[in-house]
Amino acid sequence: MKNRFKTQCKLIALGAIPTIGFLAFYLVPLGMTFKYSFMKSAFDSVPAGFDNYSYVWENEYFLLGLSNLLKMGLFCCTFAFITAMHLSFLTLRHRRLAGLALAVLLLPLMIPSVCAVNLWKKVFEINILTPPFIAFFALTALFIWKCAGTAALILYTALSQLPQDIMDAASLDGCSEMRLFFSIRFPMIRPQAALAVLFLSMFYFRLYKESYLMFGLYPPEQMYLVQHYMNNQYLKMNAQYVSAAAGSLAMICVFLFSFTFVIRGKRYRLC
Amino acid sequence: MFHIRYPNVSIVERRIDDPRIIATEIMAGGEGIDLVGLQDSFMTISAAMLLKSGALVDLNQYPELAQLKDNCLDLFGCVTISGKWYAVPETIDEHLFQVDTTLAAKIGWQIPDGRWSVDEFRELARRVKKWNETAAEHIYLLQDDNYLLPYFFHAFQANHLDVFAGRADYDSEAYVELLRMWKDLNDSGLICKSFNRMKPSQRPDALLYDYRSALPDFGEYTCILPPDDDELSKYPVYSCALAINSNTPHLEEAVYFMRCYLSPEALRQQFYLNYGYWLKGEAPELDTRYIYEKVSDENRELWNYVLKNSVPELYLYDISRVQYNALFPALLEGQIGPERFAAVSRQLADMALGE
Repeated sequence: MKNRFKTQCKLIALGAIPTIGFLAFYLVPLGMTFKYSFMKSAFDSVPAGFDNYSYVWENEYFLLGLSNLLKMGLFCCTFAFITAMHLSFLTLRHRRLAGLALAVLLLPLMIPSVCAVNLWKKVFEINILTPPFIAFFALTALFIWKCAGTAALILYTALSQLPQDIMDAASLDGCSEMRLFFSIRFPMIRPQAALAVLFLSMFYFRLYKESYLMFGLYPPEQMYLVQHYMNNQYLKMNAQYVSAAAGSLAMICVFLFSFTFVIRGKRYRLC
Repeated sequence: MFHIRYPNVSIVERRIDDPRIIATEIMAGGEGIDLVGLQDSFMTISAAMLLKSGALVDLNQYPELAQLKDNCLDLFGCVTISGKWYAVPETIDEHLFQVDTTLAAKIGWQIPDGRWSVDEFRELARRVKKWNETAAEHIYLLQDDNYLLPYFFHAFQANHLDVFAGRADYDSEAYVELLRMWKDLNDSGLICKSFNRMKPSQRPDALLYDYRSALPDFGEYTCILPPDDDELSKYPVYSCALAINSNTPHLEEAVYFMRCYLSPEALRQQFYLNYGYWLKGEAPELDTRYIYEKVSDENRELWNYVLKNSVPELYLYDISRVQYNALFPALLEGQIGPERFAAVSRQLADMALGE
C-alpha cells in the first residue's frame, strides 16, 4: 500500500514536469496571444472586441496567404509523400544498401537552410523577376528534397515490418503489384503513413524560413503565405494583427483536430 | 544637464542589429527601449511604419519641446510625416549637386541659380551627349554616389510614399518616365556610379556629382539644388534621429532628455556634423580640425533652403533593396522595361502597405 502510494507520487511528480512545461511554454503564451488579439494595439491596451479579427479576415493579403498556405501545402505534402513512398520502395528492393540509403535520405534535413537556399538560388536563378511557376517549382522542389527522406524512413520502417507471407499468398492468388499495394500494403501501414503525413505537415509550416531566405519579406503573390503576413505585421509593430492571425490559425487547427477526433470516434463506435 | 534633474537615471546606449529584438522590446515596453535611434536606410522597420503603428510619440503633444523648435532653423520637415513630428534629428544629410565648373564652362552651360527643373536637366543631358559625340573626350553628366537608389527615385519615394493612406504611386506615368530617363542616360554613357565619396581630384570627368551628406562635406565647392518638378517638389532629406518609444514607462524622463537634447546649449556641443549650425541666428565657425573645408555662405544658403522644403527620405527597406539588387540591374541591362519595373514595385508596395 505504502509502495503503491510512493509510486503514484513519483508518477505525479514526473508528470508534473512536462505539464508545467506545457503550460509555461505553450498554453500561457497562447493565452497571452489571445489577450493581445483583443487589444487595440501593443501601445494602447483599450479593448477592441473583435475588430482585429475583422480586420485580419477582411484583409486580402491574409486571405491570400491562407489560401496559398492550403494550396501549396496540399501540393507539397502530396508530392513529398508520393516521393517518399517511391524512395521507401526503392530502399526496400535494395535492402543491402538500406543503411547507406537512409543516411543519404536524412542528409538534406541536416544541411543548414542558408546553404541549401543559396544553392537553389544559383541553380534556379531566383530573384523577384523569376516567373512565378519557376519560383513555385523551386520552393516545392526544395521542400521535397529536404523532407521526403524523413517520410521515406518512416514508411520504409513500416513496410519492412510487414509479414512477407501475406504478400506471398496474395501474389500466389494472382494479385498485381498495384493491387497488392492499394489493398494490402497501404492499409496495413496506414498509421505510419499518417505519421509521415503529420511530419511532412510540420515541416511544411517551417517552409517559411526557406521562402524568406529566397524571396525576402515580400515574395511573388503566389508564394505569399500567412507566415509572411504575420512576420511583416510583427515587424510593423502590429502585435494585435499578429495575435489575431495566430489565434485564427490556432482555432482552425483545433477545429480540424476535433473534427478528425469525432470522425475517428464514430468509426470506432461503428466497428 | 539631464543628470541635474535625474541624478539616479543612467543613460545606456545599445546597438541592436536584429529588427525582431527591436520590435519585441519596443512593443513589450518595460525596461527595454525608451529612446529609439532611427536610421531608415539600415533598418528593416521603417520610421513611417513605426509612426503608423503608434510606436513613436508625437512630439507635438509637448509644448515645451515645440517651443525649443523656435530656436532652430526650419529643419523639422525631415522628421515630420503627415503632420506628426516624431523625432529629433541627430545628423542631417541632404542632396546637393556639386558642379565641375571647368567642365560647365567647356560645354557652355550656364550654372542655374536657384531651382531648376527636370526638363532642364534633360536638356543638359542632350547637350552633354552632343558634346561627347563631337569632342575627343568623354564626360559624364552625373556621378551618382548614392546609397541604394539614385537621387530621382529617392525624391519620388519621399514625395509620393504615403504610409498612412497606403499609397506609393509606383505605377504612375511620372515614375515610368523617370525610369525611362534614367535608362536613356545610362545607355548614353552619361551616368557614372560610385560609392566612394570621392574628392574632386579623384573623380572621373563628371559635370555633376550627386551625393548625400552633411553641410561641412560640401565645403566651398560650387553646388546647386537638385532638379525638381511637380512630382518632385520637395527635397528628400535623410536624418539619423532620436524618437521616444510610446510604450516606455519612463516617458517623463524621455521627454526631458529630448528637451535637453534640443536645447541650444546641447546643440552647440553636438558631434561635428551639426556643430551648432542648426540654431537660428547662429552660424558658428565650424572647427576645421574636424572637417575638411570651410563652408561657403552660398552652400549654407542652399542647405537651409533644402531644409525648409524637405520631406523625410523614407524607405520601405525590402522594396528599396529589391529595386537596387534586382530591378535596376535588370532595367539597365535591358532585361525588363520601365513598365515592368514599375509594375513589380507597385505589387511589392501594395503588399507592404496593404497588409
